[in-house]
Amino acid sequence: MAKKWKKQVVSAVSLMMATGMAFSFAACKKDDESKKPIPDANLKEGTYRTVTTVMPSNWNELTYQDNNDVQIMSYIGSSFFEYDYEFDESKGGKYNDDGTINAAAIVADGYTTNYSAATKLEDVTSKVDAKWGYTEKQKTEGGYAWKITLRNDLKWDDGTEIHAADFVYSMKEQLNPDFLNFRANTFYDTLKIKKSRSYFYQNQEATYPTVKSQGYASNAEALAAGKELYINLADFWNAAGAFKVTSYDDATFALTLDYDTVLKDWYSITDETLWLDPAFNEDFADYVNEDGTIKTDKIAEDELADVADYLFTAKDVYDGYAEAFLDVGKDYESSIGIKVINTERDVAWDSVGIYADGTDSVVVCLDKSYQFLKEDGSLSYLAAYYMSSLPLVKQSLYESCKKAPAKGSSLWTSNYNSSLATTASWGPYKLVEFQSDKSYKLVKNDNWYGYSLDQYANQYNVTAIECECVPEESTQWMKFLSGATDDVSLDSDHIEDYMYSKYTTYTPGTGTFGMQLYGNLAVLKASDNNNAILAIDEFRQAFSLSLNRDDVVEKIWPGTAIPCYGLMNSQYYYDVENGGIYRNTEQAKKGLLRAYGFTEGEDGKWTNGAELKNLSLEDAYDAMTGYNPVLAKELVNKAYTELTTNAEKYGYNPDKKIIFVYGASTDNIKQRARATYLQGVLDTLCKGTGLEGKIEIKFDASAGSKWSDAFKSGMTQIGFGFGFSGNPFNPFDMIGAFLDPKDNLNYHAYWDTAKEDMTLTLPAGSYEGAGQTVTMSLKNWFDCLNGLAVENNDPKTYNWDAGFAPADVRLEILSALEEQVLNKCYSVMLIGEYSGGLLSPKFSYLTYDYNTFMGFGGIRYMTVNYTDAEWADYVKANNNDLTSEYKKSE
Amino acid sequence: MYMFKYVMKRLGLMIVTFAVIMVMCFALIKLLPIVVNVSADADAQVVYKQLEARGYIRNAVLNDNGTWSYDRVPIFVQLGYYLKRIFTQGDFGIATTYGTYLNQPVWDVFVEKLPPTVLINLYSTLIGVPIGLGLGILAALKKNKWQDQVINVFIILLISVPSIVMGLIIQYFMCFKWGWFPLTMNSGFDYFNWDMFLSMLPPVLALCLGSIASYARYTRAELSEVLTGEFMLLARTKGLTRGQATRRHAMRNAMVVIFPSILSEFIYVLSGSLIIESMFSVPGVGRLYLNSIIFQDYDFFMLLSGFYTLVGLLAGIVIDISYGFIDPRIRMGAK
Repeated sequence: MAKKWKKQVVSAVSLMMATGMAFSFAACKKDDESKKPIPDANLKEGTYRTVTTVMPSNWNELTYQDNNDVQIMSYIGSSFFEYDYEFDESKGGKYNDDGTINAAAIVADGYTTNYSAATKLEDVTSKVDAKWGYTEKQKTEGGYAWKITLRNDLKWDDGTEIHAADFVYSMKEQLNPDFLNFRANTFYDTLKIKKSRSYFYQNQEATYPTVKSQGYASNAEALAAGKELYINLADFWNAAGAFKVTSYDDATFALTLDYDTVLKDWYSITDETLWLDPAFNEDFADYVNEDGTIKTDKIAEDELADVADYLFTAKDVYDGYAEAFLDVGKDYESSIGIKVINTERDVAWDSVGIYADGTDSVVVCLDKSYQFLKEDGSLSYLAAYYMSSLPLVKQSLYESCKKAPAKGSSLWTSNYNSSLATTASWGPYKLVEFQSDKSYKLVKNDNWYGYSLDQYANQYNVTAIECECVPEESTQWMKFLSGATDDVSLDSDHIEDYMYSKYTTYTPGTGTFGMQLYGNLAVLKASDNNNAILAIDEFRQAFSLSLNRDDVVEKIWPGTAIPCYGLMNSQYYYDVENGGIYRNTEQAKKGLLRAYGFTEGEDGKWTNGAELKNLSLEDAYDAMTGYNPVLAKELVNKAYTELTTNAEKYGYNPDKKIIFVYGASTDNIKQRARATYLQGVLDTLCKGTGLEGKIEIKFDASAGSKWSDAFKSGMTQIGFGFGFSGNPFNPFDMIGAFLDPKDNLNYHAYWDTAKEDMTLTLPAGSYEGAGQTVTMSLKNWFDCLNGLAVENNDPKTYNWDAGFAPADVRLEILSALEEQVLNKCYSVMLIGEYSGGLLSPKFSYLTYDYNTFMGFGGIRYMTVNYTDAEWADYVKANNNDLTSEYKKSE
Repeated sequence: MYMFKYVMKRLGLMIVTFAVIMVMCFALIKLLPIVVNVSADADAQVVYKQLEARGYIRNAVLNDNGTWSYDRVPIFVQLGYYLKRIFTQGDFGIATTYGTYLNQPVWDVFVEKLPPTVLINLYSTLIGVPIGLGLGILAALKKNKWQDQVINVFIILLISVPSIVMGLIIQYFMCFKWGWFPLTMNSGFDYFNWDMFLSMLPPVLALCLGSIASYARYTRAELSEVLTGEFMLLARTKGLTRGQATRRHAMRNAMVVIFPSILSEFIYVLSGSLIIESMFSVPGVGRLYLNSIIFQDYDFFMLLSGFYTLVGLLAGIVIDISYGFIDPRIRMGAK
């Protein structure tokens, strides 16, 4: 579950990047008498016009679905703590004398974390009520309970005041069990507010997980352990819809039925309630006498089977099928479950870890410790990363937007923040126009507290944001080239003409994608595709080494990606405070080199065993391409030998073709071309080996939107372009998406990393296990790295979470884990996200040096070069066609 | 009276047909595998528990391979709830999986989006029918003369070029290069002002050029045939001028075939044009039906299926009745 929050966190970060709503230097600046007031720079103002391919529809913080919804959300909300550029005071600080922003003083890759809607953050772990149950150790450790003091001038766009109680109300609605709001997981999974999960799921009565998932090797073992097994009768042919038999006479076949009790799903395997198969019931009336007995003569005459053949109980079904079908590992094991009753019903709201402390303070009590403050008491980056804000809805409006469940449903819904009438803003802009599937318009919100603060002086010069839904790329480009909009995304049709335009900027992203190869031997062997060779490590490694990443980018993702070799690209920070990028570390580089066939000599020089020899770490890293057809050929021969030598183990039939099913969500030319590309790679790889001409890639888009499930279940075996994005400040957690079987995102949950050991000798130091040589499972290493070992009942319970082990130790472990995952080649990484876009000369960014925290400064820092009227004249002077202007490179 | 009986009978049959189609639609869409979208940052458990709470599935369980399994609530149980909801509460439901309208009443969305589609198609018909008929009449009257040849070339050109290409040409030249019209339709709900009309013209033209060709071809063919009829000779011998005879007799006979095609085309276009609406950013219903199927948004799909089925069935009745008005010799339901 660890990664569920990551995209959300990214959304929050991208929000800063996109809108630049981060806040500068501490709020105390206003009170600092020694500072001169910042003069009004009288900057130009204008309307920013943009397009979207999909309109936002649900910018409700409690339920928003995707980044489209964030479009509006990011402008109408505020944050307690946010990022800003770091300005070098020695170069004049943030402001020039005339009040304009001093872009020259921006520290490259620097950032600050500042207060905005909040004025104070305090660690109150040792001060909160004993009912929250913090141990003495936790109280000493701190970071579990936090008091956020809000500004006292927070208001909605209509002037209604906002206080702490509004945040508590909003959280109560966020976690409302009747609504099952989509974004609740941020608070029970990520922030881990006390009792939030129990409160949220309190309406759930019971679940029936499989016997295997509960740790038993067979049904008998579970029964021996005292577990009661349940059988899902509805899974059985003709059982669904059966009527309950209230009496039955064996001699006369007379039976009576309870028509109001129809068979549902789960019954104890000892349950002897009698049911009548509805198949018999089709012509039931013809066989029943008025007194309720059965017309046995007619049954005989019609040559029907004995009525008793149509009666069954849960016990009968289990006893009859258990051995052949229902035990662990059998075809219908999922029809047997162990009932897990939800013991946490009727959870009181006051047991959930959030409450108002006075009018303008909110206290949150967490199950996990966070270091939101640095030792000097200033905000750490984690404050803006994990708790930039708490959800906020306008109480009266939200209540009016609630909709009771429809017939047959028990789910409450709300249409809050989905139209103009149901929207409330407490951010720098407010919504003034909205037409679904067409357009929206935001204008500055005069009631936003920020406009009176010095930290925002001479910023937000964009007076209105107009966005139109234009699904067609060609139309988007015509609008941009005619000056009707101010930005456009660079696509493959235009990359050649505008790649070097002076108006083009490129943005790196955290997205790291590649090829997933399904390797579960049991499933592959059982399929008709004769493709269990995918379960052989050497084959997958050979496939990986056959892929030339440069060629992949050029042929498949031109202009929108860069080659990538690791599980995470160069946008991941291991040390945010000091700008430490994981990919640039020695540990990460060494791990990657080893994973791609390089070895380090005793003299510290690296070689790939072929043409590259005696290279320094940096040179070897620069020379690494991930493409090694010679080694690939060796490995594929080894794999073939293993396959043919142990043909029975792999269920291999040499007379049949080996089929790899390429899974896609849609059937289109691009996807087909990718499958064809991979076929070419495989053909080259297998040429001259025993596999030549034997492997065929079959395209399959039948799973549609369930492409992910299709891959996870082994229905498809190649997932091309699959990968992850987000979580840029926590690569230690991100790697769980590749090796934690319980991680929601993991495509290879079958890979039992709790059974694969890794040994590492830890560097010396003062932390748990320092200097020791430790052997434990990959899963255990991962859990220890993230401080989850105790929670997950791991055999070894080291805690090497942030703050509990030095950064270099954590890096050593992370890179070793990454190497293990890469060596396994279930996930073959190929590309890193890299997108381009053009901005019209009407605006310019504060800086064109990309900053992970601030992007290019967003709307907040955007400079307006032409007012709306001036821009109209400019476009007219260019005959409404700016094509030639946009093609200029200088 | 026979007409009244006929209409009543047709309406009765229509209701039965409608009910059968709707039950089939409900069953078929529910038979499809349920679409479950769990984004990277979502908790799959929430998504499945929502589906349970909505009454679509039960017993959602996470399997060892990371996938979820569940049982489906019997379709007819769901149908029962659906019908009860509509008839007792007048509630057509809310969008549950069609992300663009999530949690919004499907009826409200549909009603909001219908006007642009109707207007664009109405304008297209209003422009296309007179021009198409006019060209067809002229071609028929000047059959095999140069006017006919020119019109035929024009018709073939328009028919050969798909509306999507026509749309692109119109957008590139008339909107982008020459700046006659905006590239996309204007925003707003005031559909009856000059600027809005102007912004609607490109999609209207893209749609109506094909219709013009089609009407012209139809009219020319029908009218050419009628003009050679013996009754036309009789009309002339009665002393009518050629114009009078064409207007009063030939056109009326030709319209028996042409009018229903105009009506049915107008009804057909009520469903909107997916490509044209997308190209000109028209906030119409064009994408709704397709997306309701793609996203398997049951309430949306049922509402739209119901609407278009009803419109189609009603149109059949109206077209049948219209024959009687165009040609008094036709008496529906008379024995």
